[in-house]
Amino acid sequence: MKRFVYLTLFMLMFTKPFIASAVVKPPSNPNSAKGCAICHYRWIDTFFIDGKGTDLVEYNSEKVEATPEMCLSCHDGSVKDSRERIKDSSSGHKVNVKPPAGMKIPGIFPLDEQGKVQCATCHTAHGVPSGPNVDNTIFMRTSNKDSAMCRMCHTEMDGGLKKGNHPVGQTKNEIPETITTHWASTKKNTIICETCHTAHGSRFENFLRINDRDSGLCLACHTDKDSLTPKGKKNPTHIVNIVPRSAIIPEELMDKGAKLGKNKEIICQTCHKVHKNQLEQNLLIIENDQKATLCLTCHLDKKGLFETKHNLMRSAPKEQNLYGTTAANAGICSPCHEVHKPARKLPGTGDYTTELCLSCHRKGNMTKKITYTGMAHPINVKRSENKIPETMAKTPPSAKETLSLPLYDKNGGPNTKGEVTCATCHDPHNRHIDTAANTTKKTSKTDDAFVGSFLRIPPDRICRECHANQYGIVNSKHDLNKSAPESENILKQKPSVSGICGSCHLIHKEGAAFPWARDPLGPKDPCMSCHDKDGISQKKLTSGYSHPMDIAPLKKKMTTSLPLYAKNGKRSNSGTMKCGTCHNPHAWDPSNGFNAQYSDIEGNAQNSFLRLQNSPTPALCGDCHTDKTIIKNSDHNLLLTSPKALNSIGQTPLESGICGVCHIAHNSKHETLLWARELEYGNSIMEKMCNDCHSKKGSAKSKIPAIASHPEDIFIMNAHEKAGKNSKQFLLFDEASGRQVHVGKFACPSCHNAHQWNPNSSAKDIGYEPEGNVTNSFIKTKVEYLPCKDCHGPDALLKFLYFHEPNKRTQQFLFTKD
Amino acid sequence: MKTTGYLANIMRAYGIYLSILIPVFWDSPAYGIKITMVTHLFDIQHDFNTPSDVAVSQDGKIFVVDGVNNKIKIFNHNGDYISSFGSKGSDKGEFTYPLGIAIDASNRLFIADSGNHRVQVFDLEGAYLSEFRIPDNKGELADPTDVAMDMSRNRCYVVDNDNHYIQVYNLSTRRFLEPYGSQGNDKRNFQYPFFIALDKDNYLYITDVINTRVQVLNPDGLFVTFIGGWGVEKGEFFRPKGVAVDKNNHVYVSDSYMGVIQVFDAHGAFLSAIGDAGQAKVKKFKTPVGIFIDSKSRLYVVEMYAHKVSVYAIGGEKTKTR
Repeated sequence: MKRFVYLTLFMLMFTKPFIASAVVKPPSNPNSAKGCAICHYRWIDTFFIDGKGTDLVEYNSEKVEATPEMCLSCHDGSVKDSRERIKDSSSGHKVNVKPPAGMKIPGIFPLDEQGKVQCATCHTAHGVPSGPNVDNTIFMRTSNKDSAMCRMCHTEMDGGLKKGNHPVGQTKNEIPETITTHWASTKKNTIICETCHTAHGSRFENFLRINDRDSGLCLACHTDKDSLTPKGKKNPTHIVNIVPRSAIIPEELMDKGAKLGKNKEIICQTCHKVHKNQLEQNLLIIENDQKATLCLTCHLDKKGLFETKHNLMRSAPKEQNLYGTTAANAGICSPCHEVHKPARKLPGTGDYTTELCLSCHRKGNMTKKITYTGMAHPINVKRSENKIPETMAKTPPSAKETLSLPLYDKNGGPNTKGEVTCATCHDPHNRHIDTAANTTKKTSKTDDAFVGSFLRIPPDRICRECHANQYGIVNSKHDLNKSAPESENILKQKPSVSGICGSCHLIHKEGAAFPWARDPLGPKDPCMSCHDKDGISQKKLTSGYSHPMDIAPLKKKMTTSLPLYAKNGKRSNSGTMKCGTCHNPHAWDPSNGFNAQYSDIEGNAQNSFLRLQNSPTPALCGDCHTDKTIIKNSDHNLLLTSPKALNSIGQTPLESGICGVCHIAHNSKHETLLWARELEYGNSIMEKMCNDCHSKKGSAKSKIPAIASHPEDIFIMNAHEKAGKNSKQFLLFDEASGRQVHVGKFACPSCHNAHQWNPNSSAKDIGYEPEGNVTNSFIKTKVEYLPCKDCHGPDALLKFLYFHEPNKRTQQFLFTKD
Repeated sequence: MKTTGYLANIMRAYGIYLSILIPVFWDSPAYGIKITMVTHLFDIQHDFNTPSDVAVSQDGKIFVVDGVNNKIKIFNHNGDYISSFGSKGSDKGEFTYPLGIAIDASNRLFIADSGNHRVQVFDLEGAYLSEFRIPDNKGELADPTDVAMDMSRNRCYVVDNDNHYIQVYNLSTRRFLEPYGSQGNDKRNFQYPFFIALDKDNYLYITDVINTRVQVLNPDGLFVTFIGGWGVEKGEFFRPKGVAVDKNNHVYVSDSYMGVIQVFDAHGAFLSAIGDAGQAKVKKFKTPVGIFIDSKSRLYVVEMYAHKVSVYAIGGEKTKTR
């Protein structure tokens, strides 16, 4: 019905076709009837016969029947709703404009009197077939089958690749529904002009059906060129729709017709120009030649590749990528990158960047000299938090909030919140020169190592980017540049070559779980590589008796904030003690970790690479031995009671710390309690140790018990221990070794706890005045655990006096002799 | 039927003849034209894309059909934007190029959802209530372009543009009752009827675009009169589109190509053309389509290709002499 009405209105009633003419002439056989004048406005009787205007409108003699205003007067929904397609002049084919210079308009398409394009240039209501399809839609002057009509004027857009235009015609790929549903060709495998453009109703530039400033139109068909697969996996293709970070789009490229996205993103049309291109090659704007001209147009920062080992033209001229091309015949980028397809096999599951590196550097692949089957430095991890220990009051001078090294996402895209990959430290395209040092030529072996390794910044700085908190090592005794400049790591590199970190750490070591750069490692603590009789730190050996290692505090029901280590060398809360539990090899002074001044002076409890200062407060020892720290509130705190006393290695209490007065962690002469003092007289080793101070020559000469021994020849069995009670109250000791035993004799610690003055109080209670009594005096008054009561019952006090006060002792036997 | 209604009915039936007896309104333009003066109040422009129609609720809110954006936009009495609803689609509350709008006495919003071949009903907040599915006519899909409601007869009139008739529905049950008219150029014939308005007696005023007239039917669908005819003289139309009836039963008709709004009496006699206050000349609009007159005698004009709604206060008349 509708078609009948249109035809009735526009075909049967119209007798005069639209004819281009420079002169407005009345029709030779004027028919000013409504049927014609309903579009041919000037033929209304008032104008055409009377030759005048009216109260409502001005006189009109213009040919306005083909103007947009006339067409829209019916196509506004009142007869046909074409509003979306012809709503304004920007949404469709230009009208009211002259064709561009040089465009030849066939005579079949009339222009108006001014030579301008009007609706009637393409459409006529007279004598043409009309249908809903693209071939002959709405009164076209000629068939537009396969865009024949478009091509009659736009000849410069025709001709396919040879003429620098997007090909039209048959295609192997099926045109997606996202395009065909927009009134385009009903054929799914034929490209026509209307596949991409629509003459009416576009919301986008060049009357495109789909926005292409986000590559949407191109990617609608060229789905394999999208950055991500439909499943979100990285496509091995040049990224689009992101703002370039390192690449710079030069004006030269823009001048040649390149386009960017709305926010300056790279889009398909940044490299490709689909019409009137000077190059046939993939409709690229710039030729993709062996010199990598196209790539380097934007990626000028990759130009250094020519001078590196990664220029396979020189280093591996026969190496072929997946498509059998070499660097020589496809350009130096081609061994690693094809713009829209993978250049190499990436069989691994790692991130894209790392996998690309390993496609050559994995064992069995191309590079035989530098292969890695395992990573020493972790990859696919977040940046180290650079957490500074609380005890370090100062911020490391090189700590950065913003990392200057790039991090990457899983798909190889730079991402400031991404992960560490090969490309974080290495720039495979450049041999970076240390511009900070203004080094333009290789001048040292350090430069060799740096330049050859493609590091982004020199090795003495690159680690610091993430591990600034370890840089207290500089100028410390562990700075081998200072302390052992001639030493070599396992790569036979001196510190001057390996850098400070490289003295001890290997970034890459095949199969290594722990990146240790010195031999031997084996089962030993890595520190022993140097602190060994064959090592470079022979002055600092751990001979004699030292704090036990490889013990698990958890098993001893102890807690600690200090690091523990698993067998593989990694930190583990359930691990065991290693050197690194107490020592931080990267900071000489834990309170001032970043200002070490190298010297050969001996350390003490306040430095010595300790993780926590152990003097004057016993923070380090007390981290595990918390119950012993109460000693600081007693007479046994020699910092207060005898600050000039020296231990066996000549340290004052301030130098040794409170604990170090009696115990030394390394190289004690005595296994028992790692005794730090001499042994005096006594029946057992425990008495000998106590008597070193509690003797006439000792610092506690005023605290010598007149009688300090239990009657001999009486062996006691500790019933509480047998009953499974608190073993810490184990009070009997072997006379020679001081080891706790089940059956033995009393010693000083049987009754005394040397670390706590008052067993019922941990408050400061220095025992000068008043003099101690039976309730304090380091006594263990939790008598339920004292074996005294077992034997002596209510007579305990009497017997205490018997043993300790000579004038109280009588001839009476305490024990009945059998 | 009330007596006054009956008399009015008779007068309407013979209105065309009465018009002839009042030649002043059909006089030659050489003798001048009466101007109904309007004062411009404000324009409403809110990213419209070829809007088509406007309606105003009893509380003064202005509802604009923003058809190509597939939205109904709501403004307060001062033209300040309040909200909008709708998007492109065919689900409930979605539109495909809607055209006409009307509000009934129960504050329900009726939208002619042309591309979806239906009329959707909403409350004044834009909440979907119901819809009228407009059936095709022997294969020709329905093309509802406007709607009007007769509360006294519980009827809903739907203009079917492509099928050239008016569909009549029961307003409560949404049941189809009967068609008014058919295609042609005689009485009760239409060639692309477009917009509709009811007067206070619920007579139907329908713009008949290609027949270049407004046809008046009584509530039973019987022919009453034609308003206007082919031409560019006063009282004639080239592209009649919008129609509105004021409280005096004066009929306002917009012509989108000539860009004018003419005023007729209920019998079809030309009264005046809308003119600018102070300028004493016919006012030119850019593609005026849907128009509306509210209870405060404000004239709302949708200027489709200006993508705006212009609002005027109707008042005063002044004779322009050529």
